[in-house]
Amino acid sequence: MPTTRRASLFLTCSADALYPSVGRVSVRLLESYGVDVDFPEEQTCCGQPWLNTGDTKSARTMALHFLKVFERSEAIVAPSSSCVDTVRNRYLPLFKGEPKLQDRFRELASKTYEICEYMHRILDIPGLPPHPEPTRTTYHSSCRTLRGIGLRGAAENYLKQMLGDHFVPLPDADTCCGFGGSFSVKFPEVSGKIMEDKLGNIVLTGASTVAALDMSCLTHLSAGARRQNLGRLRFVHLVELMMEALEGKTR
Amino acid sequence: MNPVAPNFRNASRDAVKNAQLVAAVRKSSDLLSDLMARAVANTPDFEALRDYGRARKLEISGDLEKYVQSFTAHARAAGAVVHRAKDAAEAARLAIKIAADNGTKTAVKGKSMTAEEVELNEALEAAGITVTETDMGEFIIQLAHEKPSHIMAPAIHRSRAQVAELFTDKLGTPPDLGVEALVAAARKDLREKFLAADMGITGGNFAIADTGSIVLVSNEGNIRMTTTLPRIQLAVVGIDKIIPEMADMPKFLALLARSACGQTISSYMSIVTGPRRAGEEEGPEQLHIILLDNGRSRIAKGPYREILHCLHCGACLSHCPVYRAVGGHAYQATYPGPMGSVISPLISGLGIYADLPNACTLCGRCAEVCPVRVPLPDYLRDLRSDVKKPPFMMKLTAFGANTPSLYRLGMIAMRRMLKKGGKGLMAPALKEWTVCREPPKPQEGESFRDWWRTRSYCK
Amino acid sequence: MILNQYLAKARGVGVDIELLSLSDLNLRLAALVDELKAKSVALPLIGWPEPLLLTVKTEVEKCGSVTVSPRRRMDGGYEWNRSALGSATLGITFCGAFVAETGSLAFPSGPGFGTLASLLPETHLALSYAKDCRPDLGGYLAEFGADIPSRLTFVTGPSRTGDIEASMTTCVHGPGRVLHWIISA
Ligand code: SF4
Repeated sequence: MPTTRRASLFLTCSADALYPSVGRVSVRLLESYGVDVDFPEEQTCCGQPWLNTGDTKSARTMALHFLKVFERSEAIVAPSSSCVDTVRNRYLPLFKGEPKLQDRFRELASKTYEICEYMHRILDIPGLPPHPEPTRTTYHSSCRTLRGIGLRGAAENYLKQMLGDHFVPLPDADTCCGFGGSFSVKFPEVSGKIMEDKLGNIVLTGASTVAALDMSCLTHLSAGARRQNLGRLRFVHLVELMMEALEGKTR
Repeated sequence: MNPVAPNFRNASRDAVKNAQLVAAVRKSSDLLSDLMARAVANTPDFEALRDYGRARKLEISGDLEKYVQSFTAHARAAGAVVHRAKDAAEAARLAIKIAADNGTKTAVKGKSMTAEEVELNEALEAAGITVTETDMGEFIIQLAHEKPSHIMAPAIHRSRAQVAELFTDKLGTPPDLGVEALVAAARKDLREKFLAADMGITGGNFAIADTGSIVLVSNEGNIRMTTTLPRIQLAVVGIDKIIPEMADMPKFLALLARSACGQTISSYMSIVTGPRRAGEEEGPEQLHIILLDNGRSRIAKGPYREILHCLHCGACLSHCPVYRAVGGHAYQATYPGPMGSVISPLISGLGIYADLPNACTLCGRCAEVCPVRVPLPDYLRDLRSDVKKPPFMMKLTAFGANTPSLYRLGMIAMRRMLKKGGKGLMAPALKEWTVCREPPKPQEGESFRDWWRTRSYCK
Repeated sequence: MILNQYLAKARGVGVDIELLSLSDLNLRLAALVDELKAKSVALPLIGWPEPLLLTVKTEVEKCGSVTVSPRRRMDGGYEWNRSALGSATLGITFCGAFVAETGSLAFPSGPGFGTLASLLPETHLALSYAKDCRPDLGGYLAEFGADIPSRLTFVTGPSRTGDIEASMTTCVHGPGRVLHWIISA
């Protein structure tokens, strides 16, 4: 008998504070594929900002909180590769010498997914319908998508299915956008310089939409685009385009 | 050593504005990265080779002293004079003494980052010995009174036009020479110096414990000259360059040559085992080897031990988005880029180089290309927690973020503040954020949590 | 098989290779000396298979070139006259082995096996027999066992640099042109 899949949404703080629609769309998208979604309201942040600024003590506390909130979930799905990378790869080393806890974190890591990854690897969704109003779109494969969770090609494939020739790959897709969390405010000039190059490549593709699986990169890129008067560019999490394709209408 | 404390923020701010610098670094880095990618693609067992490299290096760094002893014994047996320097100052003193004991006045030198680390040229010059850099890149740097800005391509930050101008100024060549003519001019200038020098100074790419050999690779031929023509030879080698056996060398060489500039092997490789032997018509009468520790034994025992595995290929520099945006000088350290941001604070102290572990976006590209899989981003992240106690603000926000009710309030507050243009608590961070960007723009409408609650209620 | 691998590798890095028989050697030498207008040719005197050295020396001198060679010292060793060596336009050496895996020529040192003749002149001609081809570096190094010569030099293509704008330029300090003539025994 086929059992219903269940997944807990981990919203992430950027979607929580800035992009409620990414959360809404994530829920609806998963539900449209028959997943039973729940949202543990006690969830907070994965702790990445503290981890990456060297405050491992706080990061540990947050990891433990995350464990408490999500441990019993069948799967944890988040619309952000960098947060998933944190849960999957960064928690474990924080608990060296605590094998019991490590086992629990290992278990947690094994069931935490980025949403597009979850669709590709777990739900095994082979294809998506064509997008109703395709526009020229490019894809920023963030560093944590590529090198953190090791997702290569899946998002691009979905984009090709939805958009056909309207999908244009980004030159130098492997390079960082310059965000880097605390780096973006510690060394804003360098962050800005790297970002400029990324935006330059985006402009080169002639795209009007930029999709990614990381809202933090997109926050940085979209804010930079506004500074550079590239205001017409639309920055979206891939799930938004997916939902549009599934519903046959642009929001 | 540095009169002014290094400050990456200030230096990098100037560097990104230097369009010529950024363009030159970018152009060469791109070429080097492409060459490496092609060479790696043509090496079917490269991943296995990397695994081997890491595993073998773990054996070495886990038992460093044993290999130092073995190398020393074998090099001595081959007739070399082996010295051990615990730090940079001692290495410089030893070099001066070797020069003085042998009445040497002029030295030719091959590129050596280890010599840069001990500031050997400055020390020898102060003792009255003229040192001429013979590697093309180093030659340019020396003429310009600069420091190398890349561990493999020291003059990467200079354009052809700038080199031409420099040569006209210092060597009297006609203006605006092309690359070939510039190289020919350097060849001519240096040939005389090679033939006249008393002392040849090199680093060492590998030191082979079971034979006592120093292995040197170069493309230009200057290393062969330096190790063959002068009567005294001095090699300054970090103890991290020791590998157990000659049989290991071809594999490490394969990793190094491909990662450094996409070759299977460099144009020249010299395996130097002791000085000239009886009856031979070439080679130095004396071979001195200074084995430099300078913190390496200490590092081998600590949590960052794998940084000693570094082959100095430079791949992590050429692939690093930060390095590519600012070049090497902004780091204000002997070793720039990702490997430098790890090793510099470990050698000189986090007090001096507290900025460097933070000068990284944690993009992971360096670890992806490193031929011996040094976990550079992990190390940089860990070094951040060694720097200092987290500031009070971080601890405060951590408490908030970890308390669900406070976290929810925080998210609401953040959204409000940003909608109002980011006043209050967010102001300091936002000031830096808006150096190159507009403030983040929260979406209009209800929050996700409100939407979820209403929806669950209606169901 | 390994010879083919060597040919591909070494040609790939810019070595000018010819396969010839001993009887062609004289003609080819004369042509080369003429082409380079080589007034003086650096030629180490020992460490060669006897007949080959005589052929080379005689032929080069017959073309009107001077040969520069290490001179015997009082202590029985040898010494180059460096300024004479410095003016040679062509260096001809015998090469102990060549390695297919990397496309390299190998020069172990030893009395008479000096490498300066392969380094200072702008053109270097290495001669060897086809049987001296080795599959790989590791295997070749293992042949020495613990008995490593004081200098073991590998030459893989011409001298080059990428230090100015990463654009590859040849003939920096060593020869800009490397020829390898492989003599079928
Ligand atoms: S850390 Fe790795 S990539 Fe960087 S220079 Fe060293 S060996 Fe090369």
